[in-house]
Amino acid sequence: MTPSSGLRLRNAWWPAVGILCSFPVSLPTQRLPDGGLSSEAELTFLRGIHLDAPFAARRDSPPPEGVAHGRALFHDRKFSAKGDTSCADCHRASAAFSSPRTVEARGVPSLYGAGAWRFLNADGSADSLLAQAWGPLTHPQEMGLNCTSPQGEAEKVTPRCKEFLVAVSAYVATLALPPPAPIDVFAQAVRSGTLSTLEPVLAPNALRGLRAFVTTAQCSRCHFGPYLSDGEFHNVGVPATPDEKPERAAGRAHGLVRLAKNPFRCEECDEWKRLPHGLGFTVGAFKTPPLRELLRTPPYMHNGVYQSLAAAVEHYAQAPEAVVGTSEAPRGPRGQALFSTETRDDLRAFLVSLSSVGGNDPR
Amino acid sequence: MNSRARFRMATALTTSVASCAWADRLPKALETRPPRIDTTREKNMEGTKGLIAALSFPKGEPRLQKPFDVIVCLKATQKSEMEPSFVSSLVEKIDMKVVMPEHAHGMLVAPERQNPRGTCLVYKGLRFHMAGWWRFEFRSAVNNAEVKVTFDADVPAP
Repeated sequence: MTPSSGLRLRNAWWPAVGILCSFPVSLPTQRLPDGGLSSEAELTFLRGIHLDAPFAARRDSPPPEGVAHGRALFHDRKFSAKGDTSCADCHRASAAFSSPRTVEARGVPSLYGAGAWRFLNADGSADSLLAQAWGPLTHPQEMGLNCTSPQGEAEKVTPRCKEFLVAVSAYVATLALPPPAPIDVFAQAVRSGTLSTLEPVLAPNALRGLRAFVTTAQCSRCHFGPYLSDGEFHNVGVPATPDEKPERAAGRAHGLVRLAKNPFRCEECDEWKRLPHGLGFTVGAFKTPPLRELLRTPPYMHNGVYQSLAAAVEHYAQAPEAVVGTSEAPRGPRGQALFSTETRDDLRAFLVSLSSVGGNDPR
Repeated sequence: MNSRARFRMATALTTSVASCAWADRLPKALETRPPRIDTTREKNMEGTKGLIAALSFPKGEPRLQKPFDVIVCLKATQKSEMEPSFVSSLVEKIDMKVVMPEHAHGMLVAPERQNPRGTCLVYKGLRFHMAGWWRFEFRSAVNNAEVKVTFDADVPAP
């Protein structure tokens, strides 16, 4: 061996190291129990729940000015007939801006992402934050303020009420992002290819629940996107509560009647012109609720009929006939349950992963 | 009458004014999705010889939650014995129904029906609010001659 050949041999392994280092280090990945990391449907779903994903701003999002003023008014009880109720009394920050109570057989929805929807309230009876805030501000069982101007005045709504509505809407529009939940960490890891079994983000049952959510249980047909809601109206046969008035159970059909009476309704909007006044499909249909922060926002369904996540999941396993209208909830073949008892537990585990904090789900 | 029946009746009365015209148009039961959705856009109209209906979307195949328009055109082939004026009168009487047979519901918007141009008709402002199998049904009847055609669409998930 000549000195030069020895030099060549000694140097020959450096390029090999270089080639090895040029490959990405392959980390062990968090695989779903049956082997595959994620199906295309699951990946699409996980991409969609990205909170930073471009999300169409509402056409009438209030300007950022006055947000601080709006926050103060949100907590101000003086803007109620008896001086004892503020927005924050029902939309508590500790409960993801919702409340465990129901008002007139309606659950109090979380305000996270409220500015993103084309229609608000379970029956879609408001088409902007301004129109939505009008409801609780004037409803006798809520803040109960008299906002109607005396006869003869040009403006139908008193200036004091209008100032309140504009400022509070500006504040609520800022509540766009809920705190990150385990599902966000998981989705981010899947997107960036850094998912690791060394520090699993989701437990195996939650992973199975994710797969069932997208496939067997068909939840993701309506629950998708950053807030896990399509913002549309569906009749899924939710039972009525004893205190639910019949017209309220009519859902979207009744919501359209209420929207027509709202002084802040957007009359020029194409959506308003093309609303289905008189279409039977809207009877008994309610807006798909967002699923973010579920553990902090019981009770569940538009009327709060279920106190636990387990009960809400059970509803979809054996979806009952609709109280009014026709239920569109999928059913299992030959009257069987849509999914098994094990899948119910998995689904519940997955739903828990949508909350930023742990909590006890009363069964 | 038990409370559930009273509840149903009261709710029905509340919404009857709004929905009675459409009550007979609601799918009665959930249909099972066929293994393959036939998305043919030109079909012979049922009950006719040589009358073709063509469905088109001027801005491309519609997507979930995006407003779209549809154009339906009728044309008589050489086999047909229909007079052009009769075809035009059929177009004038066309009625559209769009449903999701799997879920027994239709659209949440009311599309705007424009006046026919020749043997074509435009519906504006439709919107699929749910991914899956949708069915367009067009019916028309003139002088006891009833014609019907259905088209299917498979709207992908987002």
